[in-house]
Amino acid sequence: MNGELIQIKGLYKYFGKLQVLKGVSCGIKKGEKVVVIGASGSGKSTLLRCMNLLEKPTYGEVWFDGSLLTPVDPYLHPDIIKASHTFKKLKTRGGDDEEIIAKIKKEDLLHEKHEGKEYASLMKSFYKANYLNENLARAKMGMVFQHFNLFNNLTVLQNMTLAPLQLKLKTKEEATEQAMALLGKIGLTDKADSYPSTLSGGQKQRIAIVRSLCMDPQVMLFDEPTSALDPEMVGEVLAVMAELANAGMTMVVVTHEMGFAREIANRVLFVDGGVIAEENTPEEFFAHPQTDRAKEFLSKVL
Amino acid sequence: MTFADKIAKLWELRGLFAESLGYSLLIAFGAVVLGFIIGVILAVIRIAPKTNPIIKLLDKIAVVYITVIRGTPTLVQLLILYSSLLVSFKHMPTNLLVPIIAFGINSGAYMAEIIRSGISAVDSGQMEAGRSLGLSWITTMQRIVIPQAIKTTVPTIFNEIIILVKETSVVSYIVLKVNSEQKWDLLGMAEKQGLATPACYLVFLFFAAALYLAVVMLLTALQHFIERRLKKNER
Repeated sequence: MNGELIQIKGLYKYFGKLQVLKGVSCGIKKGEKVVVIGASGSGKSTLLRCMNLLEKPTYGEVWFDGSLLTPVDPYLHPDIIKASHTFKKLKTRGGDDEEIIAKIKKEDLLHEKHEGKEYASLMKSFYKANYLNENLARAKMGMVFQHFNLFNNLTVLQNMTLAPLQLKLKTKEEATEQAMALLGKIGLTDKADSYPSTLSGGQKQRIAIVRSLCMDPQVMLFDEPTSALDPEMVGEVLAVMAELANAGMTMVVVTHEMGFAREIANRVLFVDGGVIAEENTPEEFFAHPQTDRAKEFLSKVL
Repeated sequence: MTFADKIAKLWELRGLFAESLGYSLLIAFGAVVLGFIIGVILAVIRIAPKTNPIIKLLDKIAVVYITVIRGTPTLVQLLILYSSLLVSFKHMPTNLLVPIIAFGINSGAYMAEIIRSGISAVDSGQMEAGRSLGLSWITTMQRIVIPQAIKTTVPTIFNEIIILVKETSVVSYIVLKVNSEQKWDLLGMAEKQGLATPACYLVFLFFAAALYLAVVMLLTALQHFIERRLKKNER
C-alpha cells in the first residue's frame, strides 16, 4: 500500500481506435494535493475520470485504498503470466523468464480464454482477494465536474442529501444537519430550498463541491472545476478548494489555473500525448520545466 | 322526427351514454397506466449499457416488441388478443381487461420511444454525477434521469394519451362484458342506439364526438396545468 490512496498501474485507454492514454502509472498519497495539467486533448481529464471508473480503462489497473477497482490486468503480474499456456509453451523453446515475459507483454500474446486452468484460477483468486465494487469506491471518492452537474430536478438540500440517504450512510436528520452546516460554510444557507436553475455558476460549483463532501470522501477529484465559470466567479470556487486543501483533504485537480497549482499543489503532473511527461514539485516544474513540451505549454499559459 | 324530438331522445338515453363513456374512460385509463409502465421499462432496457448478455437479450426483445407493435394496426392486435391464443377471452364473464391489455401493450411501444428520447435528452453529466457519488446506475436513473426525462416529454406523452383515448373507440369491434352482461363503449353505444332509432343516428354520432372532444380538452387542460407546475418547481 505504501500510503498511496489511489494507484494507477499501466493504464491504457482507447476510445475506439483513438488512443488517449498510453501507459500511465502514478500514485496519489493520503493528504497529497496533486495538480494535473496539460494541453487539451492530452488525456488529463481521461486520466482523472479513470481514477473513479467513470471511464473504464482499456488495459491497466486502478487501485483505491488497497482495493482493486478494475479487472485484473495479467500483464502487470509476472506470476500470473508464468502460469499461462503461452508462457509455458515459449519456455519449452528455452530462454530467460524475464525475456519471455517481456516478449509476451510486448506482443500482447495472452488470450484470456486459452491460458489454462492454473492461469484462470490465479486471475480469479487475485481478483476475489482484492476487488472492491465500484459503487462502494465511488462513495468514498468525491468528484467535481466542469459543468457542475447538480441534479436539476432536486433542490440544493436534496442534491446534498440524496446519496447519503440512498446509500443509508446517514439518517435524514444527520444528513440534513451536515448539509446545512456545509452550506453555512460557503455562505449559501439561504439557497437550501432553491433549484439549481436559479443559481449562478459559481454558486452551483461551490454547492457541487459540498455535495461531494456530504459523502465524507477520502479523496476529491476535480475535473477542470473553474473552466466553465465566468471570470469573476473563479475566485470564489478556488477559495473553497483552497480551504479544503488546508483542511487536509487529499485532492487531485485537473486545471488550467496555474496560480492555484503553484499555491496549493504538492506535486504537478504534466500530461502530454497520453503519458505523464513530467512530474515535479510546483516550484521546480514552473521554474525549470525539463521537457520541451512542458516548456512550450508553460510559455503559452503563463 | 324534429330536431327537438331527437334531442329529447338523446336526453332519455343520457344514462346509457354516460355509462358507456365511463367504460371508454376506464379502458383508456387502464391502458395509459399499463402503457406508461411498459414504456418506462422498455425505455430503460433500450438505454441501458449493454454490458451483460441478459441486458443484450432484453434489449433485442424490446426492439422486436416495439417494431411489431408499432408496425401492426391496433385493431388487429385487439382482435388477436380477444380471440386469443392461450385462453379464450371471449368467454370471460367480465372482459374489460382484454381491451385494457391490448391498448396498454400498444401504447407501451409508443411510450417507450417517447421516454427513450426523453432520457437521451437528459445531459449525460446527470448520470455521471449520480455515479460519482456512489449511486448505482439504476438508482440514478430512477431518482435523477427519469424524472427529468418525463418532465421534458410531458407534451408528447399527453399527445399519446389523447390518441389512445380516441383509439379506444375501436373497442366496439369486440363484445364487452361486465358480469356476463354486454356493455358498450361510447362509440359502440352511439352505433347501437343509432341502429335502434336510425333517424337519430347522426345526432348520436355528433354527441359521441362532442364527448370525446370534451375529454380531450380536459386532458389538454390537465397537460398545461402539469407543465406549469413542473416549471414552477424549477424557479
